[in-house]
Amino acid sequence: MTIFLRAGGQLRAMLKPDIDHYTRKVEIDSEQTIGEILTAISLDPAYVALVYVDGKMKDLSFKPSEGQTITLQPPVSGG
Amino acid sequence: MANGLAGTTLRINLNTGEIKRYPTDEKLMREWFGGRGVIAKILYDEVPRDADPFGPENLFIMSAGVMSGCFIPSGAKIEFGSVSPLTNGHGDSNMGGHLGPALKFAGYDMVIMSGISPKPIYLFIDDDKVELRDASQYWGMGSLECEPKMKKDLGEDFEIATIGPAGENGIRFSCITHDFGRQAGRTGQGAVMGSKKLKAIAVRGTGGIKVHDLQKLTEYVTAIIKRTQTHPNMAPWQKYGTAFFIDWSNKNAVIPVRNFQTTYYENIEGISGEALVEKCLITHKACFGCWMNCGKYTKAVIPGKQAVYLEGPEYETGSLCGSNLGMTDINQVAYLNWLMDNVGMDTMSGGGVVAFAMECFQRGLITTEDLEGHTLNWGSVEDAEHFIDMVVHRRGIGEYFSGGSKRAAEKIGRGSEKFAMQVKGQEISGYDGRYAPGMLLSYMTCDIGAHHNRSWTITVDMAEGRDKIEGRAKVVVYLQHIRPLFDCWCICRLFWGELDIEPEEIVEALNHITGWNIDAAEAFKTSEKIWNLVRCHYLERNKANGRTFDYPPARSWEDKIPTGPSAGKGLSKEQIEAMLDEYYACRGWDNNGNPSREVLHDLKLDFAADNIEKLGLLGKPLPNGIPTVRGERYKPKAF
Amino acid sequence: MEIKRIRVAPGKCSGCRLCMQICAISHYDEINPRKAGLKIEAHFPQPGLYKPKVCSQCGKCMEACPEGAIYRRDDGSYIVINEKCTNCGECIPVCKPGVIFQHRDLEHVIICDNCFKCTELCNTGAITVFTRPVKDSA
Repeated sequence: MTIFLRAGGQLRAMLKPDIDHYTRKVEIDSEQTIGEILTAISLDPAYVALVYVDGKMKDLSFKPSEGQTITLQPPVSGG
Repeated sequence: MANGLAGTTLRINLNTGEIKRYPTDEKLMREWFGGRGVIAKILYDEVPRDADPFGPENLFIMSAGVMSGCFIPSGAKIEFGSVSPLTNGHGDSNMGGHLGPALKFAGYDMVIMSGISPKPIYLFIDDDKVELRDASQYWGMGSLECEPKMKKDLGEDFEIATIGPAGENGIRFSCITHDFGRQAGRTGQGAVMGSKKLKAIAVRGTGGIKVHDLQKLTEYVTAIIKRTQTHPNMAPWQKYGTAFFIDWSNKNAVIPVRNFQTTYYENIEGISGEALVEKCLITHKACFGCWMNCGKYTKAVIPGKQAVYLEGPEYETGSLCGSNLGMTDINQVAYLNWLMDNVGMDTMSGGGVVAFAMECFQRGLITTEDLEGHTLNWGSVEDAEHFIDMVVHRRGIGEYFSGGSKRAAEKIGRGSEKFAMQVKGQEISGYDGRYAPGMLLSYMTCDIGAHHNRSWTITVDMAEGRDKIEGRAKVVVYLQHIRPLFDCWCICRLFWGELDIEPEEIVEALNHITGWNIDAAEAFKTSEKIWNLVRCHYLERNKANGRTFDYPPARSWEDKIPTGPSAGKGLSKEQIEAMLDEYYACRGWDNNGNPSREVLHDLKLDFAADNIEKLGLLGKPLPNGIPTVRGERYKPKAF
Repeated sequence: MEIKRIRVAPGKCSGCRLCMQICAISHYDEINPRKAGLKIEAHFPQPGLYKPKVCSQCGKCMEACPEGAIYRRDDGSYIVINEKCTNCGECIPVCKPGVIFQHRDLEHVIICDNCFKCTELCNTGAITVFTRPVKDSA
């Protein structure tokens, strides 16, 4: 199934967006967690400070559903 | 002036009450960039090297900078500066909110205050009316109680900044509070205000600010708004503010736990960003002209106590008054945040000092007898509150801690110096540096004592290898040049740093406002100049080689991290020395940590070179000339 | 016929004042929130909320004006003719949201002209444009 990953700031280069400046389309298996998906696309999950889905904070064990957009936030550079 | 400046500078002699106005020196602002930069120059030029930070010769300066109030994203800051009573060197600290713009709308760029008022006063500015008014009715009030009272008395449209009893009583890590929860927290600026009997600053401004090219600026800002509205970082920022990465900090084992005894917290869920939003949030609160809305206005409810209203906890408070004090519920952390805001105590140093005291209690170095019959246990809000009260009022052992953890450790002794988590007298930020060497180096070399604001390198440490120390220096130097620029221009680093805006774009905005036509290279060079001037000022006041002061507490190399994902990790003393060696070489300073004449000459700071030379503190000539890397724009590989 | 108005969504305003800045810039070429045709009321420490106050285009100012300096435009907005306004301020007390302003630089009052620039910059949805059928009075 298809999901969309969005990232800016320091994560953008690692994400390699292909849809627009911040978004990458990814085909996944239905039972994959975010952590597994990121590892599969060579984006080290250690650099993801926040997984944000439909306005809520999730963690790397979250399993997305079809068509969902997952926003990945890098850590703030000190705050 | 059509350059982003308001046009007038005020000089106030608090001894006599004399208020002088004169045209803002644009050349000075151009050369030193306003804000932190111009403050550094004025303090260097005018405060005698043996002046007591609490004495009449210390200056207290507030500068709104060139970009504050100029319709620029996050153009809301105001910078405060004086010789710090905490570190005995240049001190500066800034806050967001609305005070900086208000000062400029009233017509003033900077207010420089000298002397000590014979009685409590507040500075009243209402456009061209500037007065020192009696503050006896407000003296003694908490900051969060004083602000609404003053707004009621003067008008809701006044912007108010106050100190609390901590500042009044000379607690060396006191802060200034404004807009119900924005603070200028670090370096004890609130204590300097208190020493001058200056309770508050009240400003109303109805004028406008002229900029060099308003049309280009408006187009630029409108474009940035549209571009950043859909940035992936925007929505999470708006929802959680800085609190969102408490979890990440824990997962990567850099969060301080129980006075930095370890770096992984078993109770993180209770104090996380999600807990904040779910349990405490009332509204998202913005600073002037910023649509990131990262402020979180909240309500804290503790059983047996009245509900309190505050802004926060932000990340630093969330960690330093959360896991660092063994707290398990976000309401506890928020309550302590409110308490410290109200008494007027920096929550970062406050969290550090309370944590230090808790560890002293844990180890039996202080007892219930010292604490008026109370305990000081990890995770106890009641214990923390009582202890804070002792410190604010300097009762008994509270007197030891009123000067910060370094001074307290000097009094308590018995090995406690090892775990007073500070550098140069200022408590460190909410990240443990033992397995993040760049972060440790950042604390060690920060110009105002330990603080992450100048340089934050944890993701660089992760990318380059946390066990590796080589190569950190040039990253730290680069960050120490770029980040303080925001404090000069009085805009917020969070907006510009988190939303993919390049330094060249920030400089473009600066040029639309000022017409100065500077480029990024000049910006970095000026920042380096300010950095070196502050270093010289520190050496001149403290009269010893710079290296003497650049060490972290001994826990940093004596105690390996005991538990969690980073268990067993830590740096050796040799590695710390090696990092300093690399840093000094990168900066063009000698191995004693003293700036060389070559570098100071290159930065047009020959006068400072002459001064430190007289004290025998001029750095030895550089064997290989001025290093080129110190100005290099270092871009770490993507994580 | 339909007219456009500014709608305020309760609880969404963050107090950033971008709306006030762009209003003044658009109308007076000046960065000066005091020359805006709207205001933000801050209710702190409790309940801890910001409330935008905007013109509802009710027309009471026109009724109160002794100089005939305010007229109703075809789109249903009430517009002050600066040259005719004597700055007497008679319109101010009748404005329920309190969004008619005077400024020492100006010889006329400031009344919102329904340009909606403020809504274009609002990032929280606190102020938006809405359209409704015209009523007889306003």
